[in-house]
Amino acid sequence: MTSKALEVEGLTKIYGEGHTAVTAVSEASLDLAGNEFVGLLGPSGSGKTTLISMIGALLTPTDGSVRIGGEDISGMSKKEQTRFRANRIGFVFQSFNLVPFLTARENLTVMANVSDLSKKEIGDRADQLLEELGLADRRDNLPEQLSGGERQRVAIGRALVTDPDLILVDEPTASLDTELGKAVVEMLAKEIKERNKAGIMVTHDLRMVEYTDRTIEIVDGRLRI
Amino acid sequence: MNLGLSEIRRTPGRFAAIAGAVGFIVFLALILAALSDGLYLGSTGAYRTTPAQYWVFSPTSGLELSRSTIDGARLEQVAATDGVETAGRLSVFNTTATSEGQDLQLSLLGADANTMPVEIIEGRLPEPEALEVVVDSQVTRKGIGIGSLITPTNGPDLEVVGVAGDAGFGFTTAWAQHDTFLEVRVSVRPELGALEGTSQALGITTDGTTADRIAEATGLSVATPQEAIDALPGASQQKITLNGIVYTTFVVAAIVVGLFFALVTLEKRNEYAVLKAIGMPNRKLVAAIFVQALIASAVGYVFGLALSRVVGLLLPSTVPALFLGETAIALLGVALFMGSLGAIFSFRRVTRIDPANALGGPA
Repeated sequence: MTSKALEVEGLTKIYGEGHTAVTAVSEASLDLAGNEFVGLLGPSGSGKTTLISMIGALLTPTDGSVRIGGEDISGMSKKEQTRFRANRIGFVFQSFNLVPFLTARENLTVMANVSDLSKKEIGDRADQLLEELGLADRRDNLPEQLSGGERQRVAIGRALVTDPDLILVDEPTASLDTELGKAVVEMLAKEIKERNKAGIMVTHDLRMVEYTDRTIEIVDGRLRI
Repeated sequence: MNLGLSEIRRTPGRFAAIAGAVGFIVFLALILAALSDGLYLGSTGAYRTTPAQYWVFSPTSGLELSRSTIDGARLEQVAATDGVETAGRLSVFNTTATSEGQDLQLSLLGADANTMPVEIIEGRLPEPEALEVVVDSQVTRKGIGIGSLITPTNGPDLEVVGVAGDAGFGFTTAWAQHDTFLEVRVSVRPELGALEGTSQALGITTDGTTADRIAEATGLSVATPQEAIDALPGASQQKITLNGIVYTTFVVAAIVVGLFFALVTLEKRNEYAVLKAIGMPNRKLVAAIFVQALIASAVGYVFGLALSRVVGLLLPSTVPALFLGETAIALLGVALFMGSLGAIFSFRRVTRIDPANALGGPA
């Protein structure tokens, strides 16, 4: 891995054209080292989701570039973006967002369908992660049979199972109480750092920033580092 | 891991609903198809079940048996025509009759040895000049079989000596030797006269000589079995109409499957957005829907088939339903195709879901 896991330069997203054009993110630049866990703060409508969507290869920027692990994703086709996400980016969404009809283990091994890793590699990594996340005895339970914290731990496992370069975390505590939220974020920070990954966590909750290496604020589409 | 299969395994109730809906539609289609087959085959057997390659009618008959008369001289002329190997008579009249304590509408056919049904599934053909008949296999559903007596109104008792497969020709169908047929007809309908040697049509086999050549040589109308069937009043129209209804029901099945998966896609758009965000390609999601549609259609088909067979057993013998294996197999293909077609309407919806919706809370 390069010393910079993520390099964002002049990233801009403008929706619409002419008089109706709205600048959601304006010339955002940001670097993240490997094993760096950053908190992204900002009020509603500030551009957090747009920024993280562009960094996560979910949205094509109007201008600027994003390099993850040294690879520029800004000009990728939709197909290339999908493949890149499957292999190089891990996501942890709010509201857990597990597949409801798959067991805890299957929610991790579902990535065998999409990543370049073999089915066996994904299976072995899934078992190891479930063990490390304290879910070994819950591996065959469906999401509805898991507590909120357990579901979020499964979601963390899913984000890590393909061994990505970058982990993007979207409001991980939105559906959890404070204590559980802290425990989950602490675990996230630990896993990200132990595995030498770069991570960005979008959050409204200032109590969670104590687990990050630094925080970045975004207001009206502009980053304040 | 196939997402479609996993979902069906874990949430079978959801798919039981769509499989049940498809099943009832398939049931309706199979019952209609059985009626269509039963009516069609039960009224065209005389032309299909004999060795005859062509049927010869009088020139102005319009290929209709009831309007055709062939006298003995014509029979000899046709039999002597170059290329004709065998020629046999065929005639029919409808009358009322009784058998096994039931009143029947009887279609009595007269035939020579080379225009008799080929598929005798039980017993034997009638002896010449004996008051004997073979009956169509569907007649046995009325409790009439070998040893039964069929008595046309004002006619002699006819003993059933055999059962022929696929030999129905309208009403309760019995086949007698042609001379016996004429004897019975003169008893029942004396006003028609004996008309010895005459028949309504001739069934012929040839050495490969075409119908046109024989028609040219004899001055008579010569038709293939299918052409003769097509000339039967209403037979083809009836089949086309019923088959039209059958295929329309499958269009309804496709719409039902399409609507089901459209609703499911709408309900699961957040789940699809998440899967796409983590890198699941569209083709995997589309394949999952396709597999689910195929399974729902297949299970629905099996349910509909079983239900139609149960209902078929309960139908009274007067209902001419005929459940054919080939029709069932063909409709299985149609059911799977239409189910898949219905699912295709959801493909575009799934591919258009933006994975970016997975971020920023539920889409």
